[in-house]
Amino acid sequence: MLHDRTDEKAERERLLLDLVRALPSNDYDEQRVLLLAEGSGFYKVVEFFFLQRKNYDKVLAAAVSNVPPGSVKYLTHAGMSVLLS
Amino acid sequence: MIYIYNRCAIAIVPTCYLARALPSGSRTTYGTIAAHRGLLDYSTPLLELMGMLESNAADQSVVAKLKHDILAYTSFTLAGRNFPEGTPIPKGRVLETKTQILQCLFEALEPSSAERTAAATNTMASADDGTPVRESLAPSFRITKLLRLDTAETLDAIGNAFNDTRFSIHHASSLSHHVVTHARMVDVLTAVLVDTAQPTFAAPGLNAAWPFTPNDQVAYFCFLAKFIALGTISLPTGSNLLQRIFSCLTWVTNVSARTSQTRTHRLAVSLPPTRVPTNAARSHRRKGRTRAPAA
Repeated sequence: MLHDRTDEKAERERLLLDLVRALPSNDYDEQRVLLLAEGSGFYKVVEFFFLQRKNYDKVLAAAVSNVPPGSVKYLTHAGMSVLLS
Repeated sequence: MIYIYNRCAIAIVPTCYLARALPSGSRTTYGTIAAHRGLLDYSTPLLELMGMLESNAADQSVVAKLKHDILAYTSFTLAGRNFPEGTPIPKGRVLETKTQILQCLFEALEPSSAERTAAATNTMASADDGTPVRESLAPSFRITKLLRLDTAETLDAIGNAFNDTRFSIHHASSLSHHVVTHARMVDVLTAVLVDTAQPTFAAPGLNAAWPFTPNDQVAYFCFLAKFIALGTISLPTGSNLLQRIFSCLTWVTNVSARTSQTRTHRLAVSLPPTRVPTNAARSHRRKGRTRAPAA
């Protein structure tokens, strides 16, 4: 059950996000939860905290980190010429 | 047993007859469940099933069958359905039924005299070698047995009761003092499942002295997180349970997060940098530089 399965990670991230959304922020140590979430790669949770603080550059950084590996295609000269033609 | 229903005088005769007529054994379980249902008695079948489980503890196949029956019976009844047909229990009886089952499971049982003496000798034995003793004389609960059978499944079954708002503290106070509230259930489940010897800032580790594995505890914390997020449960302020939940939700994934990060890094490095336009090349190089120390 506790193996590094991506669907389980997503499930936990969803649970944590629901939890921090539902709880008033003075119920828990926000900084600690943020660190924990960052450490486990729960970028949606990180994004949520930074949005709350209106720290938009960090929100963007979290969103960029959230991009799954392999989904970014680097634009090459060849690709550029195809796009422009 | 005393039945508080008007109907009992009529119903008791045929049921006693039925119970005697049926031979004992697991095959007749469903028959007795149906017979007790006629008496609006939902807790006795559960007690009988659990009794059968204890007496047949050696036979693995019987245990598996009984385990399924017990968990399915609990789950069905707490969801307001008859077992094993799955037909809905009449609306007027649902609350009473659920209350019976919950009372049966969450009732504090006094330790038997045998357990008392065992605990006493334990205390004496551990006093010599200096190991701390757990409160062996704390009340036990029937739910403990179910949880030890299968924690995740039992929590699923109990979750059905958490979906019923009538067991929340606000509603329950207006109903009757017999209703087992959500808060009470959480208290009992926490006392039974959570190993308080573990630090709150870390996920539960292995403890051979504790009957529940870290996996079981993680399942419970996930269960709590779900119902706290739904607003069904509210933990008292200052409770360290919340800290445990946070540690636990973020714990397991640490490993996978680290591996996926290294994978991204490797991917970025191995990408062919040939004929990349200058802007992209610069950002790519910058990316490589910032990621490099992390490897």
